[in-house]
Amino acid sequence: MSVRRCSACGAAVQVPEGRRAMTCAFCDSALVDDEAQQAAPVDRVVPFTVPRERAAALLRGFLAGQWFAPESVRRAADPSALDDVLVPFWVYDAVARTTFSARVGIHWYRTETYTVTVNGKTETRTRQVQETEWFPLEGSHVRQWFDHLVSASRGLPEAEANALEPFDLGASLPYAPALVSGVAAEQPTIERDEAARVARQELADLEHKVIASTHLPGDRSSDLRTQTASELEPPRLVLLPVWIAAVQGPTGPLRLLVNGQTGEVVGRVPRSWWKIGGVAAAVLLVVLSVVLCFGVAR
Amino acid sequence: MSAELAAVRCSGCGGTVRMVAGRSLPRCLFCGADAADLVPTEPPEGIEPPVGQLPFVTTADQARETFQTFATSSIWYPDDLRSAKLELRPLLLPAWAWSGEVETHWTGLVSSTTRSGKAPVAGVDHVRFEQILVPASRSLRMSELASLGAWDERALTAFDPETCEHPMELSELTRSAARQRAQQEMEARHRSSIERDHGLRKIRVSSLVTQLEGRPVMVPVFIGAYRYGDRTFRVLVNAQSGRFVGSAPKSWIKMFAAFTLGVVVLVALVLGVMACSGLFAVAAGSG
Repeated sequence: MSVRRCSACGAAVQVPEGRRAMTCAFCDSALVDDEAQQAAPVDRVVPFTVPRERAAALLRGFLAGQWFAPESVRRAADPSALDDVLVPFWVYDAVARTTFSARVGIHWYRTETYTVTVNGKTETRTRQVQETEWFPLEGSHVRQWFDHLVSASRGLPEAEANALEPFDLGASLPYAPALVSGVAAEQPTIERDEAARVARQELADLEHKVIASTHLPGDRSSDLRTQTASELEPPRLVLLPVWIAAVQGPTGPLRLLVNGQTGEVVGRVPRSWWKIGGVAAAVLLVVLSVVLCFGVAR
Repeated sequence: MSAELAAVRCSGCGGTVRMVAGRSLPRCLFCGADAADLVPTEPPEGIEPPVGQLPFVTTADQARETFQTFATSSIWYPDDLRSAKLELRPLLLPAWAWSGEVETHWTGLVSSTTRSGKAPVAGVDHVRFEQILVPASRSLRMSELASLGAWDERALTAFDPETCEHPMELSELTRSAARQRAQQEMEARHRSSIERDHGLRKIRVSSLVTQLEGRPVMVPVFIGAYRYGDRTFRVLVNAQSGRFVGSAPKSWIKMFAAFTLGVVVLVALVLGVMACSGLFAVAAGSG
């Protein structure tokens, strides 16, 4: 915690570490940490376009589809339980070069002769049978990747961040203190070196997928092996809008996220064993009663 | 000679032309609208002025001859088109000239003595493109620009808008948009040449374009627009290669006349046949 003086009312306000901005608890005016901006300059900010009520409605819709979610979780989509947070992301532009080796299969057709018996007579017929001829192939691939996002927040694991994407960085605005005032804006807690490692790994995975789906010739392929080298441009730091709902689940707190730009809802909801057990019991009961009825009928 | 430049925008089609102040156009070059529709306008901001130009090779007389050949090329064109004194005026169209290096990683299939008759291949080719021209005209359709054909970029010379005697269309294509088009054009050209050079079937490519450098330039055309009924027709002549682009109306009077003639001939034929068969019937009856 650091203590900051509110420029509006003069109150001394405690700012939790890792927070770039928050509101003064006494007069509700915005506190923006200029030192944080100097330490880790934010390049651009994507403002919230999904308001609180809409985020809550999307969350309710998402939970309504989760039949086996515990009731305590299903009731949790309350607008007041949502926190708006500007989450830091590293943005990479990169050129990825990949060499690959694979087996490529090309179809060819063999004419097969076979006999059939029609009206007691044996007839000889032919048919085309598809075969595949396999060839080894080595080659390469290149691609320029723009705006590849890597979470810069320990609070938002990369897997969850990927599920929240895409964000449209075209709608981003150059950083200005007014854009982050009044919103909890987090400080980056994942350093560039670590983020670069994640970016390289993700780009290698993407290259593998692109080569498998669009770059290999022939009708089939197998044994694809790829080796990717990515030249990363220095990353830019952006703040992206996320609604966070902390919900008390049956076994502890759980967290659901709503993309503050697209409305995409992300979260793993636990299943209620009571509900699953109840449904299983009901099914069993129906089956048993059917069996019994048939037994009695005989 | 240095002169002030003024721009006019056609309130009908939006075509914007810049020319030496004091000169005026009798009508819109793009749609043929009256001079009253041409309103003074400010050139768009943030658009770089052209620095290069391809010179006029075709003369106005040659362009007119090309049009005459076209006007008499179909019997369906109206007679007044043949005799039309269509005024073809010189115009400079905006374009961007880009140079860059392309690295294309490709895979494909080649003919082979395998069972399928094909075998997979892969490779990497590099090429440098000089002064690839990308059209930046806003008023002409992409199909018209494509039909104007290729330009010989080697003839590019320096250009000074202030000493240019011809009207020029103002571009609204930004550098980044032009850059994107140039990149796509270079990738497409390299892809075609690789496909040809290696005899590939079903080519797949991934390309990287680097060292991109571009500058706005002007390319010369002759343009003429005329109205026929309530439609506007436009003709263009590439003033470097002499290539003609244009469409013309079909004469409804001629088509109606031809149709009527056809019907008359058909009716006459039918009547003739009926009359003949009637005569035969009469002859048969009397016989």
